[in-house]
Amino acid sequence: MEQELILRAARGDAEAFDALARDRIDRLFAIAVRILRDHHDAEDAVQQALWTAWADLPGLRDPERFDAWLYRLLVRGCFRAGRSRRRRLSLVRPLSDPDEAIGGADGPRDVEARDALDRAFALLGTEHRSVVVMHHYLGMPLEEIADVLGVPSGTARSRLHYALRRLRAAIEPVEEIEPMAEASR
Amino acid sequence: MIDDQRTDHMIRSWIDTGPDRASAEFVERTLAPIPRMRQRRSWRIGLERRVGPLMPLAAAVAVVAVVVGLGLLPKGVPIGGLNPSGSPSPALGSNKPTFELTFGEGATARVFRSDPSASVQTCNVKPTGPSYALYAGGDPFVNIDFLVGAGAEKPGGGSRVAAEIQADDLYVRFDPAILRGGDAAGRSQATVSISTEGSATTFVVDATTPDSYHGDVPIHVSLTLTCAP
Repeated sequence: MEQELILRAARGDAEAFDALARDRIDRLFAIAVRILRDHHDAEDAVQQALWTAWADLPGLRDPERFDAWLYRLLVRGCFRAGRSRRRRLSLVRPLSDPDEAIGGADGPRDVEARDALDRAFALLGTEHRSVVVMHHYLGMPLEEIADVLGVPSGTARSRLHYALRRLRAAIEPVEEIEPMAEASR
Repeated sequence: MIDDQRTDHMIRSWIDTGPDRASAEFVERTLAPIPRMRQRRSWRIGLERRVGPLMPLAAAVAVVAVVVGLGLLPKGVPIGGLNPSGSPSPALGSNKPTFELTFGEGATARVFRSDPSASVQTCNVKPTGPSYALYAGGDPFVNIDFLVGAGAEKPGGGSRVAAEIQADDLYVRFDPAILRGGDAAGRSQATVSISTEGSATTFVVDATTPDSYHGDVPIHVSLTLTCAP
């Protein structure tokens, strides 16, 4: 059924594409807003991804790769939105209510940890944020992330490792961070 | 020291926190124009893949060419898909904008002028309501999404102007009166003055905004845009 919709959409059936997009737009937005930490930028990225997907769908060779391809367009959109807005927002904004604690806990330490994560995430590039969100939010394996991003799996692994070390270090201030020059590629 | 399992759990919980749904307004704004957008033929996409990745600016040109330049821009679709704020999009009018756009001042100023053959040229002036202009084209490529809010001509209304401008390798945006939302108060300054002669309306804008591909130093932007039949 899905493949049928994708094939119809690739042949110019806008209703089929509408059905595919409606099924995915919440998920795309949730991913983008977690990468960019900004609602407007996330909307820009999703809009760009879906419009490009519609325009370029006739060129998609394998309908089974539709979702991976769409994620790739979304991450490209996030890069673009992140670049064009980077001067506007020097820091990532927290997405949640400040009174709502990490993991449902309520302690001041958790609030402090969430703030620390917000700050640490702000310092990561879009390439690192994307990997963290795809791995920890979508539960995507590293090989699949590498495929979506079009990078070797070692690079995806390295990016995740680097980002997690940064985030862990933010909430474990006593723990030393190893040199990370290699991982920032 | 907290163990990795605990910290990873905290990181996952932190990532999970946040919105999971796009607004209904955004969904409609995004999907409604699609039936009026033309798809690119697969041979063309394949050719571009073989040629290599497009430069960002060329990509922007391609999007404009595909979505807009072939006369396929549906009502309400902004240039290049950039409508970060959900502001009302302009209706396409028969009037065309001509402009002179200057970045910076003095000897290093860079000046861009409208090209009569640009693929997108439309503006709509409303005496008592908001006025819009959209432009995309020329060489070097310039993309302007321009909005003047209602009441801009009244005393104290001079800051009711917003624009998103890409010109060659420069990019700026300003929205001091928060006409479109998403701008921090005080981030940019801009004033607009409006004059009318016959059926032509001219907007003269002076703005200072930190947005630029070349650092976050405030840059001065002046734009004189005339909307005429």
